[in-house]
Amino acid sequence: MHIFLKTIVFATALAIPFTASAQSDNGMAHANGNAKFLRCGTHQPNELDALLREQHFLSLKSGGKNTNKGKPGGGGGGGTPPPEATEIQVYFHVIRNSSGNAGNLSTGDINAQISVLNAAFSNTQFSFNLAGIDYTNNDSWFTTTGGSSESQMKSALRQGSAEDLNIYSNNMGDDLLGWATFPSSYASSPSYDGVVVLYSTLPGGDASPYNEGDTGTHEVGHWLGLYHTFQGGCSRNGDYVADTAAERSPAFGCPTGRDSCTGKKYSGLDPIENFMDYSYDSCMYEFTPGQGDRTWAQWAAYRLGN
Amino acid sequence: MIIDPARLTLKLHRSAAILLAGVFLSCTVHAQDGGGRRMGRLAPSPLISCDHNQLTSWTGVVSGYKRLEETSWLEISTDADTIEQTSIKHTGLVDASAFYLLWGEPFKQMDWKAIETAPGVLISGMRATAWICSDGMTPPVIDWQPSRH
Repeated sequence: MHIFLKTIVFATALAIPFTASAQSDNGMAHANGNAKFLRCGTHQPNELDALLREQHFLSLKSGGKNTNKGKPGGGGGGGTPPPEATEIQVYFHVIRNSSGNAGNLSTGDINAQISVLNAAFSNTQFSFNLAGIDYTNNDSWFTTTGGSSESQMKSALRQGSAEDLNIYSNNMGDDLLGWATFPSSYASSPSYDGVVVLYSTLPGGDASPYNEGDTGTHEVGHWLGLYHTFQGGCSRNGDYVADTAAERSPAFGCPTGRDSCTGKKYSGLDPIENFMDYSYDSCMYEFTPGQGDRTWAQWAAYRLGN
Repeated sequence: MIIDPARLTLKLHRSAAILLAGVFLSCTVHAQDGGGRRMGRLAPSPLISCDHNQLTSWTGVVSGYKRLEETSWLEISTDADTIEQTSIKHTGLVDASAFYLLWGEPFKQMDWKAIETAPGVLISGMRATAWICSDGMTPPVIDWQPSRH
């Protein structure tokens, strides 16, 4: 019972910051200094958050999800199904400015992006098939970086289920190359699900040195449940993939030999060649087997059959 | 029927952990304006002079901020679940604005009101990217990202 009591104390300690910060909402306006938690609506991520998210994922992975389907005991008959080759249908939404003279992509450009995805994910269970392309001229959507215009765009254009990949291309600005939602967000926000990329990051685009299509690869990695390789910095859990070396912060360029987490417990150089870092497209070329395993487990937990 | 106390404890422990994770997740998802969590990829602003091979960045919510006479100090709770701190020396200058950007563009005096409610008091929930150069010469650059939505 000792462990159980510790859990209750731990849970209570966690609940207090949320409650207290929610009550002091107005007081937060001038309280930036060293605040580690804001109210629920403006929650700041930290390592504990990621740990709890992961715990939820692991509970699904170990069979919790299947317990609801009449399999008492969970673990025995539940858990992650064996990996199998899975072809993901891709709906590509090209957003152009209102006059249609900026942001245009040809079918050839989009097919080239699909080829880059298939090459990048070739050591995983996943392949990608272009299921459809549509074109929309809309200034607000063309420059969206989020908020109501993103919501409107996705509500109007998104197709398919949790298993279908929707990619939107636009001219987002703010030095962003792209963003993606996570599998675990699908249940609560299905219409938001998908990937947005800067249109000039597609292969042969103008966003050199980010124009080989690897922004698409990076964002689809998120869409399949991968964190950045620098997630958690040099902490023990990091990106929750065992075979990616810990990395204190993102790498840009292609800094061969970078080793930002030093010491006996950190083996290996920074994974600058990994698709989930921030290095140049020409520098990144791999997902690890562990990342492949994680994408399948995330798929099974959050997307398969949904 | 005999109940094994050790197994019961473990079951309760696991249930409590799953319950806690569920409560937490509902809070987090609620926090994201209906959009759920998202992550992305960032390119350095063309205004960053540091060699990209020696560059890194911290992006997130500014959780600590001090604007002093010759130094400005920031703490960022990053989207990568780390807490980072940096300071900028601006000896001989009125403030640190020479080392600031606003959404990737040069920071102007009129932009202070976009990030502060009063001198030294940052708008709550302010986000920023700190560009950190390891060449030993180039000072940090702070790209402020006030809410647009």
